[in-house]
Amino acid sequence: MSNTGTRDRVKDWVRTAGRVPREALYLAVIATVVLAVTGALPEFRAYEWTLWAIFGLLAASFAFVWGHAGIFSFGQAAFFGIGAYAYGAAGINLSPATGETLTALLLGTLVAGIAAAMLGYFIFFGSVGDVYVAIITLAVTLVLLTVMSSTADPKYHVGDALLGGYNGMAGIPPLMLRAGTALDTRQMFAFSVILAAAVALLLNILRRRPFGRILAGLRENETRTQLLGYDVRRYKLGAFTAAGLVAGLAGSLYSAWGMFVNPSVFTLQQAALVAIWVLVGGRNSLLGAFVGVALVQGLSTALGGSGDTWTPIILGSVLILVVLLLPDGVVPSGLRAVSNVAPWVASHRLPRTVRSRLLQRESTELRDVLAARSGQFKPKRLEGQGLVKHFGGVKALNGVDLRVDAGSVRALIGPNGAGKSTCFNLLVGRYAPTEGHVRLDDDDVTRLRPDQRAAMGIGIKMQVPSYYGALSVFENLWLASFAALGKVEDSNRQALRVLRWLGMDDRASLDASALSHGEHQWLEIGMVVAGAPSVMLLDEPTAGMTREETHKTVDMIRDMSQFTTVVVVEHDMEFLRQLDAPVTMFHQGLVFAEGSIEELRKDERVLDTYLGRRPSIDAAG
Amino acid sequence: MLRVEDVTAGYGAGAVLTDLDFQVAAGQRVAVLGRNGVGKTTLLRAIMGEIRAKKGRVLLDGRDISDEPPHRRARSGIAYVPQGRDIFPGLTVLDNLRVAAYGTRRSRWQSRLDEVMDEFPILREKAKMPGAGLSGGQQQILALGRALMTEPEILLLDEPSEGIQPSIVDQIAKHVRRVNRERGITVVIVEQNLEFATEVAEHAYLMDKGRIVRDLPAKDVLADRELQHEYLGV
Amino acid sequence: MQMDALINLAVSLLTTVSILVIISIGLAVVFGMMGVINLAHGEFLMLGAFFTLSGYRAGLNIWLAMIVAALGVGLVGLLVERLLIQFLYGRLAATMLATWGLSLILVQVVVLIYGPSTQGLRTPLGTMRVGDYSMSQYNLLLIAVAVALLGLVFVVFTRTKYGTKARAATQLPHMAAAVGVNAKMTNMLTFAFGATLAGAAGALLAPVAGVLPGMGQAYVGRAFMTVVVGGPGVLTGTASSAALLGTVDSVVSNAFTSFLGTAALLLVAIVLLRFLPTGISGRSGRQL
Repeated sequence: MSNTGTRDRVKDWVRTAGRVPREALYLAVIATVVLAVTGALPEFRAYEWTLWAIFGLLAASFAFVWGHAGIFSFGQAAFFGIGAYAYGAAGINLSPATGETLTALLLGTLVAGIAAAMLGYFIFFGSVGDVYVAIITLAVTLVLLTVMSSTADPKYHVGDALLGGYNGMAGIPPLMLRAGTALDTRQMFAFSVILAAAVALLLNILRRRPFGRILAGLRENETRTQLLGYDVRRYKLGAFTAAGLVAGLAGSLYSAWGMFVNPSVFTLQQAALVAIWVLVGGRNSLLGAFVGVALVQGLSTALGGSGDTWTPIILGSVLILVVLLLPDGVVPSGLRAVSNVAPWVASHRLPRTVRSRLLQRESTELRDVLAARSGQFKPKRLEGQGLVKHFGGVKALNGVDLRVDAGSVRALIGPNGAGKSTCFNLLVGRYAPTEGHVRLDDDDVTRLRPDQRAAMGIGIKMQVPSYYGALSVFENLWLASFAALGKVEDSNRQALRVLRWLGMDDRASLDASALSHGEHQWLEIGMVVAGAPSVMLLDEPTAGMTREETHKTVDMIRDMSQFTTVVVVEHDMEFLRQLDAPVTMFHQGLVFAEGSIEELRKDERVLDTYLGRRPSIDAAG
Repeated sequence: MLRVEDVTAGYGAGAVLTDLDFQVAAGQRVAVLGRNGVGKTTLLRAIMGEIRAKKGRVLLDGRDISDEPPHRRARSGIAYVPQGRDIFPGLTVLDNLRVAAYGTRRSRWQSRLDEVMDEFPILREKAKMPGAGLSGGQQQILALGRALMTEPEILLLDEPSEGIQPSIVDQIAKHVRRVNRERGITVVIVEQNLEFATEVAEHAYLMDKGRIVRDLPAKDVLADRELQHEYLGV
Repeated sequence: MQMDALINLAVSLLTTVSILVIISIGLAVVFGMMGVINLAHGEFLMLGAFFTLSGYRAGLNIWLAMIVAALGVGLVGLLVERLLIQFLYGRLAATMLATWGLSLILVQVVVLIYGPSTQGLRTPLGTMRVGDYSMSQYNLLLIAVAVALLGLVFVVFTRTKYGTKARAATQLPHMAAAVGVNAKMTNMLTFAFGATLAGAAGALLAPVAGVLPGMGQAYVGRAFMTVVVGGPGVLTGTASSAALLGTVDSVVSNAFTSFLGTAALLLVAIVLLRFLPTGISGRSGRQL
């Protein structure tokens, strides 16, 4: 990724809303070129390249669902096939009456889309893991192969269209735009290429909209995305359905192109070929999808001349080599190599010269950040009442009452196994208590999951750093803001404010993974703050920080405590001393002592519990 | 016989241990003490090789083992009993013991097995039980027995007393002292429980923020309340 | 129902289940112990069939040819692990794609050597009569072998040094290393073991299925679903899953066609996965 530290990425983002997308320009150029070239193209080339455009669109659908959304689905070939058969059936039945097959094209696409939505719902709302998505989609493809291959008997038909078993559906009408005139080869070429380009560009626009951004976050770090409050199932379903629609469109065009379709579209070979195209062209690149098709198909055709025997071997070897050596795909690796020589080639963004007015008047007041949700900051009280937690035979928490008043700070401390982490996790919602309640002001949130609590305004930072490494710092903050605020402009502003408050302006365009450890922790705190929470729960925020970094974190928390409620779990005594906030100490699953750090320091019994001196301790203190 | 030389190590981008220098002579029993988060477990993991030192070296009997993966270090004679024991839950008690001998390629493991089961009769009693079925204290004994199956030169114990009932804790202290006495096994024990630590160890190292800050006889730590407040308490 | 008809039905059912067990056990070992999805599993099976063919034609006794074939495929598995799989642990999509590429290559190589058409191998052992029905003794052998293979896997994983180490490494990789277990070595051996089992499956099926380069494709889908529905328990999962799916397949195949039997198997598997995403043995957390 190019990280020149400039504000290009930020500005590009900020200016997404409300302007004519550059994709429209690209489409115009492509359409012009295609129309100009078509007349001069030999017919067999036009025929061949139409297929490539169609396959390219199929590959693009996979690049979108896998490369962009991170869902490894073997199902694109299945939706391709469904679209193909649906176009065939619709075309055969309707075209005699209507004299056109655009309806059939539309129907083919929709049927595939509906199938995708149904399968997607089945998969994503059933909390199935990634492995199983791949397997279930593979299985569905196999089922279709098996079923469609056994439909040879004439009793299997849709209206006038015979399914045809192994031999497939014949007599499919070519594409007809109006009253009985079919497109000839060259016209089909032009139509297909322009349509494919338009749809691919549409997908690209989608990638830049909030929906697409959230998908990118989902791909990078699903847990984090959930914790920000996004319902990841709906986004996955959306991506899956979109990809299904695109694959279905490609399938319909395929049927129209060949005027024929058979179950070979459902074979594992076809499914794997889709993956090969995308791997070669670049996992996350829509343009790469088309390049991949051209390279692989071109290679196959060239080899086909010298006998079909070597093609699978070469394809297989290409697949293996690309997976081993070029995990990002040929196109991105190629671009990287070229950009080392000629940097301007890789930066396909035109530099922005106009500063957006948005960026000029930002306030760095934390108050505004935390007030962003409702116009005023509203810290809330957090309470745990009678919390008990048993894990099997282990009594981790034995009846804890904790009350953190609105707008205050509280530190939870205690030796290992004392119950502070368990208590914290109950507040977070990671587990439900065996007994007891958790309340946010007067709302009982005991049964809510962490992402639901996030939506209610409880901001959570877990111990292990969890952010979007491959996205820019700005994007990380933006996703956090958008989850709470829901509007692009507001989220832009919010993210920028938090960036300033963190003092990480100059880091805005860096990939988050490039930050130092302390900066990772701050980024995450920033992401929590960006959600304008009314309560913040922080688990060991200074873990791994240097002295100076710890000091800055204390300042940040003091800042935050003016506008929101903060609960911190920490071991670091230095931090606790500097923070100088009320402390609740746990021991053996109960609250052992409460007070300031100084008071606890002086208490001999506290020292004894840390040293594990059992005889002098009894749980009631 | 074990030297950790100016080691800086940590997880990901952060450093937990910073220029840490530490050594133990053969046959010694030492304790590493300090608050949570100072890097005690990280130190043991760096010795074991689960974490690679970003800077510095780890030397065993003068040999630089910094680039050796954990399974090699185990075969070289370092035995590690982690926090939580890490008993293989799906393996029987017998298999838990045997796998340590298989892994470190000790011959004559059959007789070793008998010795260990003689030393800890509870293991013979529960021989066929899966590891997950043992109580915390029994698991701790199994973990110790398993470590001994590797015929180690040095034994690393991470908070062995945590969550264990007092009677078994005493047993463990006795056994550890015994193997040190009878077989000359060096012992490094990380602990929060000061009394247990001083029962087992002669010498103590205090850690703070990723470094060793004090180095003194164990009983001196026990006697010095101020020191305890400063490095071990709140 | 008549006794002989009942027996015939039972044997038919058990045969289907046994075949599922036989084709799946190799994949279950590799998936259950290492979480690796080997899309070339069908081709290992195919190689087992072809090696058996060659061995038989070279004059070996058919049973010996099968054993040698299985070991031969084990060797191939060893090579594949060293040259390819070991670099891809933990990368699911990459492993699937790379092994898919491997399967393309293997099929074509076999076509180049043996030619593309079906080869024949007579079914050894004859038939026997049970009442009005005559059934193939070979089927009975398959049932016995399925049980024997499950037993073999059990013995290997619980009674050998390698098996104990492999299980430890799967349960707690860090702790296993801390007691000296070399994960690279056990992974290699596990993959080779899985390949051997796949080769054995192919060898056993050679007399009853058509031996052709594309035969792997016919089995990999069902093997997959059996393993995934079974869950992480290599033995309990595979056995219970094979029993369930095999019964579905058998019943539907008898009522309609074998194509539909397979389709039904796959559909039932999909639905089961939706409700038990970690497989039948997933909840129990059993390793074997």
